[in-house]
Formats: sequence, structure tokens, C-alpha cells
Amino acid sequence: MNDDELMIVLRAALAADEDVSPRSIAAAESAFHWIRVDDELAGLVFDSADEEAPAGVRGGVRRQLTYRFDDLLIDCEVGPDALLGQLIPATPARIELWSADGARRALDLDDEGRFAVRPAPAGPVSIRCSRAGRTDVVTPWLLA
Amino acid sequence: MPRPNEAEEWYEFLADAGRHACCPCHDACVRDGQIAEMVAAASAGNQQAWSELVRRYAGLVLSTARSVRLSRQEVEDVSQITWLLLAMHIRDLREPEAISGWLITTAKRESLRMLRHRDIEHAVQDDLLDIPDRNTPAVDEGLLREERRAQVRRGFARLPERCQRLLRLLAGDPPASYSEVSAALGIPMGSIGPIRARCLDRLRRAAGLSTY
Repeated sequence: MNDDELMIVLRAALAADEDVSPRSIAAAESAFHWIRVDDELAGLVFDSADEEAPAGVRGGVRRQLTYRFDDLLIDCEVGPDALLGQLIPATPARIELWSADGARRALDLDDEGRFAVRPAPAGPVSIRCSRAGRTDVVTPWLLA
Repeated sequence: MPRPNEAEEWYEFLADAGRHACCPCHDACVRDGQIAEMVAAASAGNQQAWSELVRRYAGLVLSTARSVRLSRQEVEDVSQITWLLLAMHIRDLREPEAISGWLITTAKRESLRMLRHRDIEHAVQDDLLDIPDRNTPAVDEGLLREERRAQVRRGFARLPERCQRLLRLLAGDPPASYSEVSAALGIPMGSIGPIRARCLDRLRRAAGLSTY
């Protein structure tokens, strides 16, 4: 590869705008509206999708996630048919599922702090937990 | 020692690169402080600052997602969630000037999560449909192109600042003329050719291209 050829290669390598679809740009731009101001952000302390899948895994293993903010844990399990969750400890709270397109859905909480979304949501979602007298806690965006 | 087909792959990349329309290269001389200011403005609600971040880094996020074997739609999904996560974390960034590293790390992590989550879900279906093992290296032109591009970028990033500035100007679209380079960098026009040659030699070594 001579110098002129190498310059062509370099130009292509540096062309960061190549293959950037208008749709990607639009999605990135609209994320601006989700800048978090007052809400507390729960930390993701466990995600089974961060581990290598064990050998011989067959269907039926679902993604497990655990979020934590202070004394509150939110356990989640994602399968093709549902997103299941549980607040630990079971606390009176209002739970909402927020989608990136702005849709919000209130979820019922049972006595053991469990909630469910059926079918499993498509697209990025965040769980919002509102407890009396406390700042709302939101989970980091999740692609279920 | 290059694999037998590797040289051919490079020449294909070269031909392919020549066909693509080039885009304006990003300003190489942006100071760290300017990036930090941009991040601060965006996190305070300045939409223009956010758009500037998108303009600068959208390609980088997509390239990172493409370096893992995902479909076109999945790459866009990873890009979307990366920017959403930035919006969520932008006020808490410890090193706003290092935002490009944060975006790469986040995009990579979400790409791998998507890959693993999808693989778990579809493991049973693959068995039934007799799809080849995903771990078998498959010919994937897009992935190869991204790898080549990343390899050259990594080598370029290791060059001394002076070489990077010179080569960025010459690799621009349109390429800067020698008189423009001379004015921009404050070096005599007669020196540009020899400096370019030396810098390209360094790039060859840094990017592992010496054998092609």
C-alpha cells in the first residue's frame, strides 16, 4: 500500500459521519428530552446479560436484573411474554413504566410488592417508583 | 505474518473506501475544555449543545455497536439506548471532557447485552432450525469493514499530535491544499511532503499495516 493508497484508507477510517442514518440522528436528538433533573437514579447492580451464557443453555432462561437505590431493591425478570418485577421490601408505592416515546403506564402492585407487564414491552423502558414523601426513583433505560 | 487473504481484504477495503463519499472530518483541534463546556450546557438544558454532541459522536456510537455482530435494527436500538442513558447520566458525569469514552463504553456494554440476551432467547430455535453455531467466524463484510476502520483509527490515535493534525487536514473532504496546511500549521510548504511521508510511515507501523 503506497502513501496515496494509505491516505484513501485513512480518509475512510476518519469519516465518522458515514452510515449515520437520519433515523439514528433523530433518536439521538430526541433523547435530549429525557435529561434527568430531580429524579433519583437507581443503580443496576446485577444484569444476567452481563455474564456469558452458560454452556448448553436452552430456552427458558430469562434475563434477570436487580436495581438498587438506598434501601430499595427492584428485582426484574424479562421473558418473551412478560416483564416481571418486585420491590424489596414490599413498600406502598406507585409504579409506572415509561417508554422512550413518552408513553406512561401505571402498574398494579400486589401485597408482596410484585408487578407485571404483559406482553414484555418493546423498546427502551424505565421503571418509575413513587413513594410518599420521597423523591421518585427511576431505573436506567432498559432494552427488555 | 498476514493471513493469506488478509492483503486482498485490505485492497478490497481500499477500493471500497475510494467509492464512498467522504464526509467532513471533525475538527481535530477542539480542546478538552470545549467538550466539557458543551456537556455542561447540554445537561443544563441547552438543546443546541446536545445537538452538537450528537453531530460529533453519533458515528462513533454506531461504529461501536457495529463492531459486535448485530443486525442493522439492533445497531440502531443500541444507539438509541446509549443516547437515552447519556441523558439520564449527563449531570453526574465525573469526566465530561471524556464523554467520547463514556459513549463508547456504554454502547459496547449495551451491544454485548443485546447479543447475549438475544442468544439466550433464541438458543432453542437455532437447534430446531439447524442454524450454524454463532461462534463460527462468518464472512460479514460490514463487520470486516468496521474492524479495518477501527484498526486504522487506533493506529492514528497513537500518532504524535503533529502528525494527527497534518493528516486530518490532508484527509479532509475536500483535502486541504499544501498552502492551506502551511498556513494552518505554520510550517513551510516544502516541508509538508516529507513530513507527510514520515507520518504515514508511522501510521503504517502503528496500525500494523507495514506488510501491505
